[in-house]
Amino acid sequence: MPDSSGVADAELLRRHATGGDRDAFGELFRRHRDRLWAVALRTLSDPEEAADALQDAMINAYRAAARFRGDSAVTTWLHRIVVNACLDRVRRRNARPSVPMSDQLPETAMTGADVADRANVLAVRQALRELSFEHRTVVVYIDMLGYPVAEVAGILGVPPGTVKSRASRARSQLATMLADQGNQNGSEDVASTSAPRATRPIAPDPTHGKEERS
Amino acid sequence: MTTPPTDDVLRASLRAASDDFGDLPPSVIDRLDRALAEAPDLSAPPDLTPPVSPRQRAPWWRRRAAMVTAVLALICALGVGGALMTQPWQHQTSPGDAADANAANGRNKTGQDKAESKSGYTDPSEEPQGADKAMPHYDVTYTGHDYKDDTSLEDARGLRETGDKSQISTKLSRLMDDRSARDACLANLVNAFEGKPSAVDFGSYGESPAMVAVLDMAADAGAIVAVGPGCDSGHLDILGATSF
Repeated sequence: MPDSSGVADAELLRRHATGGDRDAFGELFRRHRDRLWAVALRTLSDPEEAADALQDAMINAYRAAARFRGDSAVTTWLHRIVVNACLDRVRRRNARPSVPMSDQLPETAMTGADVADRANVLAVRQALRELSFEHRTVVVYIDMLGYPVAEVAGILGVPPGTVKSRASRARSQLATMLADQGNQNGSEDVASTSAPRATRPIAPDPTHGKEERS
Repeated sequence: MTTPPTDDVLRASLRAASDDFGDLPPSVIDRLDRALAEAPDLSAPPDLTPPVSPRQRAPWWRRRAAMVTAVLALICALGVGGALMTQPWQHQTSPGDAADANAANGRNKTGQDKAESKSGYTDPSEEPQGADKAMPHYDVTYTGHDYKDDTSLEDARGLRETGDKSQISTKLSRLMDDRSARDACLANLVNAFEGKPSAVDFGSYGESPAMVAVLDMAADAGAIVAVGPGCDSGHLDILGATSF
């Protein structure tokens, strides 16, 4: 297998689309799958659903490679396919109410000091699930994963102003929901607690949007 | 009364919630690698026909005999066809012949006249039926293809083979034969997914009888949805869906 680690995304996709180079597509997807997984998991809040969506997206991208027109970055195109796959999952879930979403990720051992933070996290997750898909997606990209508005606009295919207004409305709804949850719980004020203690720095994908645009 | 968090606190909470999600698990990586390894070659068209086992070439005498038979059959067909064309119109009174006669004379077809053939079959119910028809024209095919999963629904785009209606499960008869029922189903789908239907194929999804609808939303974008026989009866009966 030739070393394709230094090859641009667009070239890898072209090799796959025109020459059937499966390894080139594999390398392309490997480069971005962690970020794509992050989007799917946060958008769907369910590891099983996220895995299904990511696999669907990968196969869709594999098959649709020849239709990539090059009017956006390959990563933008991949992210758009993942968002569509997630939306499909949400629609199916809504259209066919069946098994409740397994929203509890595998629990990690919590120390006493972590409990409050854990409650915060669960409250935020719960509120996030209440948002509409389009609002949730914007919050995931901008506030959870740190993507710039312009990139998110490209991924979602909407103007940057729309992304900003969705983000603003989504935050407003989240704030209200978190305040309501705090009132209902009657315990520690989830909504007005200070920022959680330990947060890993979230940096946007360093390769996102940086590749050669074809 | 709990006060809503400030924007900064909310964003910090979202980042903390984001950190709580796990990285891509090795099991999912393995699954993706397997799925990619099993994906069909990109150059291979979707396989919509039953596999045909390779056949050995027939001996020369059998090929020559087949050729002679074919030439004789062609001569007979031309002779019979010519004889029929010279018959007066009044002789074509049987129901089977009426369809040909109507077509030849440019008359409107009646329900009894709907002659079907396996190749180039066009369901007359797909033709516009008046100016008040809300649903735009869409192609209908009957490939009987089994769409195994959501990704294979892509096969429903650009189908050329029209298929054989008789091979489709009778559970789908209502959606196949009753245009208003099918349009009601499509209207429900358009409400749920947006877009407009451009094609409908009858077959199965995961071996369950299914109608697969292609909904065009924008240039080269849309949704493909597989629904079950109950689609027209108020609920969508969605079996699978994908975007393109």
